[in-house]
Amino acid sequence: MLPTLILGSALAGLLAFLAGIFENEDSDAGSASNPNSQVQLAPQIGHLHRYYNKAIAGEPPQNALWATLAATVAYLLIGQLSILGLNSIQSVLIAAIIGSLLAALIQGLYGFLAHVSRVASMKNFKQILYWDSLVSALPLSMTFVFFSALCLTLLAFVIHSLMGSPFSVPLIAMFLGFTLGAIGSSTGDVHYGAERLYQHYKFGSGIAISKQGDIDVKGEYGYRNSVDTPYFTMRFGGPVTGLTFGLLIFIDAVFRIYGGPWTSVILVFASIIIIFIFLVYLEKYTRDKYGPFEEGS
Amino acid sequence: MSVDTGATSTGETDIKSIRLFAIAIIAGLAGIMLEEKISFVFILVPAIWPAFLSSANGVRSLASYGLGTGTSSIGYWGTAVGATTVYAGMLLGLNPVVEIALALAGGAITGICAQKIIKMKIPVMIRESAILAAATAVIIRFLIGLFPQQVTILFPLMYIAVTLAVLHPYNGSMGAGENQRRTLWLSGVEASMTTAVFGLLLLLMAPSWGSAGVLLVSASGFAVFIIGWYRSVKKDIYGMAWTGFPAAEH
Amino acid sequence: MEPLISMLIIIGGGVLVGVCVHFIPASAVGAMSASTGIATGPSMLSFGAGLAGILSASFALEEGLAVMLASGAGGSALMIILTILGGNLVNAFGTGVPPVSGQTANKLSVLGTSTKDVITGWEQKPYITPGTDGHGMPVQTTVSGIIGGVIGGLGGAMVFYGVYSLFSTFSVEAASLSGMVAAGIFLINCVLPAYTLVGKTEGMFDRKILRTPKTFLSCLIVSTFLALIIYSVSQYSGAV
Repeated sequence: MLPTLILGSALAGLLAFLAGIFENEDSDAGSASNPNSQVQLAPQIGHLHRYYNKAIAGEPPQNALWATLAATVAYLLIGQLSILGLNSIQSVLIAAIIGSLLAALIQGLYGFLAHVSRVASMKNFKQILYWDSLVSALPLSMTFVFFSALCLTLLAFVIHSLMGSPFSVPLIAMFLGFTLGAIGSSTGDVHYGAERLYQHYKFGSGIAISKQGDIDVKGEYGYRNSVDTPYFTMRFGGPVTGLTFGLLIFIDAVFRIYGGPWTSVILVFASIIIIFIFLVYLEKYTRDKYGPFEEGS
Repeated sequence: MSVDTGATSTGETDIKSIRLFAIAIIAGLAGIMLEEKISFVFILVPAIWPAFLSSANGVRSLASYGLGTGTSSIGYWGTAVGATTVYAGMLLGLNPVVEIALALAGGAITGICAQKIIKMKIPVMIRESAILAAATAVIIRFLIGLFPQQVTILFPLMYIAVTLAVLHPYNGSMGAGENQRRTLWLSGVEASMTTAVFGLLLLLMAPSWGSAGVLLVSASGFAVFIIGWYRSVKKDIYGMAWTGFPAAEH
Repeated sequence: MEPLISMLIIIGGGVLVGVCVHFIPASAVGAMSASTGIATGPSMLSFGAGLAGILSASFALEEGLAVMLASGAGGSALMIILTILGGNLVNAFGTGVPPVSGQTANKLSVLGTSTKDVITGWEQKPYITPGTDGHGMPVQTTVSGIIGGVIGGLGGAMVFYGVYSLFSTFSVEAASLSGMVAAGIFLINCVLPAYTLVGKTEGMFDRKILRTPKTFLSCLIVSTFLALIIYSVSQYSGAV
């Protein structure tokens, strides 16, 4: 029992970390969720752009759909694959890959429909639909969704079989998708929305309401496309999202290894207090280092 | 601005919500009743597409009043009321008509809470909330009936797939030039996508020609709807180009 | 467990879920570092936190109500504080802004017109970017978030336990089914307060906390309706 739990916690932490990174990069490879309001706003104030306006839904339900779809197809497929005589680990891997492929395809379709339909609603602002800006960003976004759905499906299987949750695999996948979407939307998207979209504003300030919509349209060379965004956010926003989701799943799992149920509760609350103390120090550090706001310099 | 005034900027008149809902209920209930009787269920798949259209139109009517919190939240709660009623009712083996009526009541109660207690000041809130809950309940009940035995393993996917299929058409077409014609075509595309996915799952669970039929019917529906949607896009869009630079910056 | 008590637990859980949305600081515009709070919508954030709580609580299903409630509360609060950690890290080192409360800087806090953080006493006004409504999550919003996470996790675990105890008497797959139904009830109770808040809130020190009675009443009505359906399912389900 003990080695299974240790293996389960380690695997769960790793898969959650990777899922976090890929989910954030997917939401940046096509402008999704909250920062998408900036890309939507830009043509209305005259900044015509070549971004991929991927407006599917909020990130939590999106990721829940890709994860649940992949997990359900995988779960049903395992029953068929056992006929081929594979052992359980191989069949789980193959089924998860096929399920994630389907989820990526559906995401590509939804994103394509959303981009074209949104641009078609922008007739008054003279925004043209550039097929190449869509076609270059689409496979990148689909790839990231493939990986993120794969990690979430495998994580759901790990939580169900190695950690012993009573929920069925698709249900766990749906819960994980919602949680991952909520986390990814709050952490990594700030790096995209406040920094990458506004590089021509100096580092060190939030974006005032009056400046919203004034996004970067040109990049390091020529016009910027959505494929230029993951190149930037992978260096910071992605790993922070991965760290957050990975820590959540890992802390939750690892404290269950020893002792009874009350031990894990006490340890979880202890870790909450430790993180809180760290947050207070972080705020003090930024206040002292950055100092009060000064325009210019 | 609301979309209930009846005419869009291009002068076309919108289809009324109640009319769409009536078609959805009649076709959907017919589909649900007949599912148990005939073995070739794939003929009935087009009967559920009007319900998707009606739900998407419900989201559109509500969201166009400007909710301040995102258009998608309406889709979440409408589907949640419809789905929870159906899932709980499945255990009772309830008559479909009773389930739909319960969902209608649930949607209406939620709408009344939103309108009277939270004071959202949206005139059509109660009506559209009830329509949304009832139409999504019809969809989910039909999808459950597609499968030969009770499939609780598929409940999460049904819930979230229908949620997205219902809220995406309006969210994906949002903008100043949005009109009902294109949104409903898009809703048809996504309805056939959703039934195609469930046809695939049916094929995985119970391989047979009948199950493959669901997938094929959905695929042909998809082809029809996407051509209709694309023609609609060509009519509305400012311009298309393979590549190029936008007009010079200020 | 008496079916009537289970039904009351479901209603109580639903109301707690609605109330927790007021405590968790969230705002969609925070993604542009233009507003204080976790940078996503309040309804989806509370839903994600509650689901993390239900997932943690499910491991303790066989151990009784008290452990389930504690696990659920812990899971949700952990998710909220980790999200706050991630958000503050990105705001501090990605955008380069210290956490600051916009409401407090504008003297709109619910406790009075002080411009200092309630818990630490640090001055908020000099550090805010002009034209924004704050950024990041200062200590007072973090404390509010933890409280909100605990309440939400408690509510979610209560709903799950109530539904499970009603369903387990006659269904073998009771755990998954009750998880799904609990998630549905949770979602409805999360979306309703989001309309009271009009998209953003700073937690319990925001003036919008005074709108909690409206949420309380609406969630009470909706949860009662759904709990009645589930109760009648458990009492009259001879047909399965």
